[in-house]
Amino acid sequence: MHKNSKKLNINNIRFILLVLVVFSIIYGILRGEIQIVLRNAINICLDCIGIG
Amino acid sequence: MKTNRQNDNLPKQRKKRMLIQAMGALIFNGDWKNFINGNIYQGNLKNICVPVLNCYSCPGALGACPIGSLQAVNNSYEFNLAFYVIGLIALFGITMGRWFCGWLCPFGWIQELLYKIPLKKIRIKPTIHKKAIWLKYVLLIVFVFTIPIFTQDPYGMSSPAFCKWICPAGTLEAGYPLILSNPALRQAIGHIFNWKTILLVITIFFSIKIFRFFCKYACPLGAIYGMFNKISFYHMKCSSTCIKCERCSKVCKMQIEPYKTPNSAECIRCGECIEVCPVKALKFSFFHKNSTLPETEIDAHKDNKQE
Repeated sequence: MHKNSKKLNINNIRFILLVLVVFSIIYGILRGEIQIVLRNAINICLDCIGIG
Repeated sequence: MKTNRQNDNLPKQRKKRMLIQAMGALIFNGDWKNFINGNIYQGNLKNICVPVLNCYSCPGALGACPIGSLQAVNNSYEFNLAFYVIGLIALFGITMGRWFCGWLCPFGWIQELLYKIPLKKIRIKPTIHKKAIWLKYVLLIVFVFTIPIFTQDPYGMSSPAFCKWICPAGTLEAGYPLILSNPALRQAIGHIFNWKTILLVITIFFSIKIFRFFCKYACPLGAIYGMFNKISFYHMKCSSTCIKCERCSKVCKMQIEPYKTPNSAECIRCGECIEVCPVKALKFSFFHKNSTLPETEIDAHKDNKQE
């Protein structure tokens, strides 16, 4: 019993994390982060190429 | 005899991976005409982050770089924390861990091509290597999170510090192609570009001498994915049939010991250790039924306790 309680149930952690990241993605999309990503990605990022 | 046959298969495995890496680089940067006209792709696909370090200002880039996007949202005046981008990166990490580094990353592939140049190679001493790998976590915390979040101007904006001061992938994939094809940008070259060129030259030099120099010591995306390696769905297992011959450790260019820590944060899932294992103790798995830590990690834990 003690040995079993020490075992880390990785599958449970994976699924909990999976649910959390899906909610994180949905929350980010709903509050409009995706527009900021697009806005930055479709313009030449002078900072990124070392000119800014 | 069996081992010799497996060693013969090694080039085949490497060729397969190189082919997939080349395809990844071409697909992620598929708007090839922009390399000639000096522009970048501006379609809706750039809403989505690709799972690899691929600058979104690369003329052909079809998706957004996750590290660039993370800083873009973190340093925007609207938000301080990028739930969408962090969620996407974590999703990639939970599913595949650092597999993306080993099999799809264009900059990783470029470094592997550089490593093929027949010059004397360096294998960093394990004591130095074990300390140096922490540099990428420092870069992640300082340049990707801390500076963009805490150094905002009165308008609530700051610069993408990692992209601006460090990223050699941006200089190589975006900076030089755009400067060569866009005369207006050529006029704007300044000291930051010169600094980034020096970093790029250093990265290229050490990538020739050290296998995946940037991935090992400086890639913030690799640092994030590495944290997921232990819990990702796609993971490596070492069964009790392992005879501890250490052939896997000797073949590993990422300098890990797969039979001890098959899910090390440094493992890029290239699979070469699996190819050389004489007893087939190492294998990849996507989902396992016993739902506990991989056997060797439990054994290693027990051994440490006994010591």
